[in-house]
Order: sequence, then C-alpha cells, then structure tokens
Amino acid sequence: MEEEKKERRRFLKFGFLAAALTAAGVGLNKITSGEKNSGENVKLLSTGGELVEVDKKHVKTPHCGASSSESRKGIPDRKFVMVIDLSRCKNARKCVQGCQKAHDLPPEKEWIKVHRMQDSEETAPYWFPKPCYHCGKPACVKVCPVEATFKRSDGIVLIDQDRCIGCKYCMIACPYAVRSFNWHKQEPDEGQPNNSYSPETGTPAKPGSVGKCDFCPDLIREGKLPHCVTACPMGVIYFGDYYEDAVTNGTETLRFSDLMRDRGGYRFLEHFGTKPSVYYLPPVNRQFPFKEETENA
Amino acid sequence: MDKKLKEIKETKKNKWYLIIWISLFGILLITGLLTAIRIFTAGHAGMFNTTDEIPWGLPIGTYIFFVLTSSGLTFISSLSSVFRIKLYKPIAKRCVFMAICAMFAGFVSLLIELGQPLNIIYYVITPNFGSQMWWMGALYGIYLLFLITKFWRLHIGDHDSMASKALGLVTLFFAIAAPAILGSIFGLVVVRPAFLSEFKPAYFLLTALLSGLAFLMLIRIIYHFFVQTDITENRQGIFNHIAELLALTIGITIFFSVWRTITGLNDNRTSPAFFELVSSWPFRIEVFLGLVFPFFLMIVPSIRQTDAGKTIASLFVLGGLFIGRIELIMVGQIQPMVHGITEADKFTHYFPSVWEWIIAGFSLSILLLLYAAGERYLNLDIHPVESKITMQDSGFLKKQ
Repeated sequence: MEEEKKERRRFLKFGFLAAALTAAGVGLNKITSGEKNSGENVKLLSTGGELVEVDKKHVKTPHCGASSSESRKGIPDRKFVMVIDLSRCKNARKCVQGCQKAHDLPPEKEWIKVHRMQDSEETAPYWFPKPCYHCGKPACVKVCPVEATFKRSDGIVLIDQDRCIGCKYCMIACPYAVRSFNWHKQEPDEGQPNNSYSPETGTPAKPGSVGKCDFCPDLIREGKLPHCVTACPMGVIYFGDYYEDAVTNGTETLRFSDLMRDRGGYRFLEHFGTKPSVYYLPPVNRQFPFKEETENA
Repeated sequence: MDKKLKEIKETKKNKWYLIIWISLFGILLITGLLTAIRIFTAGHAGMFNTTDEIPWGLPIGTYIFFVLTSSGLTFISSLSSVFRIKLYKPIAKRCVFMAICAMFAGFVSLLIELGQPLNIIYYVITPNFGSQMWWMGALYGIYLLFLITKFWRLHIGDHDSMASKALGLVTLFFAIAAPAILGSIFGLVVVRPAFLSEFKPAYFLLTALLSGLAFLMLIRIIYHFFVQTDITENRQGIFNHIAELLALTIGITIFFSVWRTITGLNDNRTSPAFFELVSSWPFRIEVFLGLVFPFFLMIVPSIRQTDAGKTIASLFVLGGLFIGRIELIMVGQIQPMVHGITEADKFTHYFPSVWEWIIAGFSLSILLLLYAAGERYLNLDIHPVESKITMQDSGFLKKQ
C-alpha cells in the first residue's frame, strides 16, 4: 500500500515536472522566435457560440493531405471507379468550378473539362465531361523517369510534384490529354492557408510540375465524395468502389455492374488498352435537348 | 616551337576575328544566361510558346539536334579509334572534343526546358527502369563521362594503347545506344501515331551521322577561315573524303524522309498531320534546301572539293536538320489526340518565342565558345604521326 502511494507520488512529480518543462519550452520558443502579430484579424466562431477576433497568425489550418509515402499506398481493399452519365450533362460546368475552387486552380486550368462531343456529322452533339481516367495500365506511369507519377493499390493515379522533374513526357504519352503543366510560378496567396504539399491534395501546386485530376483521395479517406460529384446539380457523375459493385452520385446509389449492363456502359478510347477507371453511359434517352451555350443550372 | 609557330600564324587580322567570334557568341551566352535565370525564377509562362497541347517545343528540338550531332561526331572519331582507318586519325581528337561541347550545348537546352531541373537527383534516387526517358538520361550521362575520359587519353597522346582502343569502343557503343533510345522516346508513343515508328531509332542514328559530318566540316572551315588559316593539303584530303560521306548520308536520309512522309500520308490516322506538314514552308525548306540542294552540291566533284561548296552544303544540311528536329516533334503534337471533341478538332499551331530562340542561341554559343577555347588551349590539331599519313595510307580511299 505504502509502496503504491510512493509510486503515485513519483508519477505525479514526474508528470508535473514534464508539464512545467514543456510549458517553459513553448514559452521560451515563443520569446526567442520573435514572432509578431500579423496585424490582420480574422473573425471566428468560438465553441461557446460567440464571434471572436483573433490575429491571423494564430489561425492554423489542419494539415489535410497524407504524406508522400502514405499517398503512394492507397486505401486498402478498394478500387475506385467513376461513372459519367452523358444523357444528364447539360454543361452546367459546376463540376469544373467545384474542382477549381477545391484545388486552388486558376480559371484557365481545368482538371475536369466539359467538351462538346459529336461522334459523326449525322449524330447529335452532346456534352462530355473528361476527368483523368486513372487507367489500369497508365501510359503516364510507365514513361515517368523518376516515378513521380504512380498508381496506387486502390486504382488512383497520382503525381508527386515534389519529385516531378517537369519533362512533360507524361503529357505526351497520355492518350486523353488530361494533364496540364504548372507554367506559372505563383506566389502563395496570403489569404490562403499555407498547407504543406501532399500528392493527395495536389495543393499548393508546384511550379514547373505536372498536375491533373486526382479523384480527391483526401476526401475519399474521410468517406466523402470527390468535389466534382457533389458539385454537379444534375447528378451526372457517380463514384464508388468496384469491389463493392456500388456507385453513388450523392443522391442515389446504384449497382455498378447493373449500370454497365443495362445502360450500355463503355470506356473512352478503350482500344489503347489503358483500361480506364472512368466509365460512360451513352447519351441516349436524354432528359433535355442539347443546347450550344453553357447552361447555368 | 609550336607556340612560336602559333604566334606567327596569329596575325593581327586573325586576332580581330577571334575577338569578333568571342564577342558575338559571348553576347549570345550572356543573353541566354539572363533568360535562363528569368525562367528559373519566374517560370516558363510568358517566356515559352509551348502549351498544354504542345508541351515540347524548340528547346527540345535544340537538345535533340545537339546530342545527335555529338553522337555523329563520335561516329566519325570512331573511324580511326575503333575501325582503325588511319586517314581519320588527325581529326579524331577534334571530333571527340566537339562531341563533348555539343553534349554540353544539348544538356543546357534540356535543363532550361525542364520544369524542376533540381529534381534531376531523383534520376538516381527513384529510377524508373521501365521508362525510355530514364534510359536516355542515364545513357547520355555515361556517354559524356566516357567521351571526357576518351578525350583525356587522346590529350595525353594515348591513341593506340589497349585501354584507349577499349575506351573508343565503349564510347561508340553509348554513342549508338543513346540516340537509339532517344528515337524510341518518340517511336514508342503508341497514342500519337505520327510519332509511332520502329524506324525512328534508325532514323535518329542516320541523321546523327549526317549532323556530325556537316557540323565538323562547317565549324572547322569557318573557324579556320576566320581565326586560324592552317588547313593543310592533307586536311583538305580528309575533308574531301568527309564531303563524299556527306553526299552518301544525305542520299540515304532523302530516301528515309521520302518514305516516312509517304507512309504518314497514306495512314488514315496520321495523314491530316502529315498533309499539314507537307504543305508547310519549313518542310519544303528542310527537304529542298536542307537535303536535295546540298546533295547536288556534294555529288558534283568540282563543287565538292571547294571550301565554299563544303561550307554552303554543310550549312544548309545543318539548317535543314534543325528545322527537321522541330518538325519531327511538332508532327506528333499538332494533331488533336481525341477525335470527336469538336472544339479540339483543329490543328494547334506553334511558333517559338524570342526567348526560345535565345535559348537555342545560348546552347550554340556554349558549343562555339568551348570549341574556340579548345582550339586555342588543347592542341586539337597536334598529332605526332599526322605528317606521315597520306591518302594512300588510309586504304580506304584509293582514287586520290
């Protein structure tokens, strides 16, 4: 009994000492680092429901992307697929805007593009959203000399811009022309949080490297859908797991295999043998007529 | 003795020419350096006319031009160091040195073109052995090391030792392997039919030789016309022989180019791009002024044997080849990759920006200034047995 008390006292002493040292260390660090307030306040909602003003310097945005090595592993036992229903797309471009906003892309850079497609002169045109196809046999991964582009176990193809040399061979080799080069050397926007780079978020983009649609793996890790899926007002884009045989556009969940069989699902330029993870449902039985101009739904 | 002889040769006039040479290319060098610094600090945007649709432009063409020229020069030096053709012994050292200079010129252009050149360290840390691009970098890197070693052996007078011969053979191996891989970088791109060709590596090797022959002849004649006037009668014999080789190589290249174009025009997948190519002025310049015209100059003996004939022919060949390198890159990029996308069903056009031309000039200035320094300080001409070699000794060219 006495021995137990002694042990507890020793533990508490050690605990207090450690806490005191940590507090002193933090304080000393603050003093010696000479950090000054930015002079710019931001308004935040406290846990008590009050609106408080704090200096911008003290606002920390949590790091939301996996590290470079974690990013390469992928989410176990998953194989992600996307299904795009061409009969529903009316070029609202919300997917493009949602993606641009989330990935901090300039207006001229689009990781998902919506093209006006016409298979032949006789057939009717239709809108064709084109993200990265996250191919099963990606040409970009094969040609990258430094393994900056890689394919994960869950089927997602990512780029580690910290490693990319900017040779652009992947852009030459990609059959779908979905990659874009970061031509500009952008100064970090002061209004934006200064997150460290992660291949899973692709932000902040490294100048002189290549970028592309990444299926938003940071959101998938949290059990959420990619930005383009949730931004689309028409429910055009479905996303899901091939192994679970289920895809969802956020409002309805469907069997992947049924969709492919019943709606004539196909993959774009399949003859290249790249085995894309993005499938299309043909633009048949359209829900509205084709209009040339952009429709702001 | 040599020094004294040099002093006598360097008349006041020649010194002025040397100053003009250094000033002209020095200005290009400084302008290029400033441009490169600007690109590294501010990025490629606004400097290069390359886009996401046409990611490879003039700097890549410049790189290909110079590294293939380097390989061609090594082929010529190998005629003496590997195939033991004595006739070429006096120019072996010069060829090796020029090949080194051309490699530096090519690498500079490539490094400026790369988005993040400092990440080149990952070539060693995380290599992708399945990538042709990795093999190209590795082979050209090793090739340059062997070239420098070979030059060092020649510089200390070791032409005929076993080590020197072995070094020559290994260097030749890399001089063949590297451009072949470079050709495969284009030739294996399945998704761009205008690039796709199993003959691309062979075409690169052939045009490498053509480029090397023309470059050796042009620089040698121009430099010595302006700066040093010591092309001996014996050297004239070598250059007459090189002119014959040039004629032969141009002939084979015309054959290759014609069939490459006919094949491209006949293939439904590539015919729009090749039609666009054939109807463009650069293509006509490349074929008629860069190949056909110099071919006729070089098959007429009375023109072939004159300095003016050689200079004009090699100048036109090099100009044509330079245009050809850019066209080779463009033909696979101007045609839209994805058919059916109506707004993308048009050809994308590209013309290099002023800055891209400056980078090409920067690369050229590096080559020419290094060469001038080599001529002046590294005794590229000196060879102990040169005077004893006659054309008949070569056993290669009997009629002269």
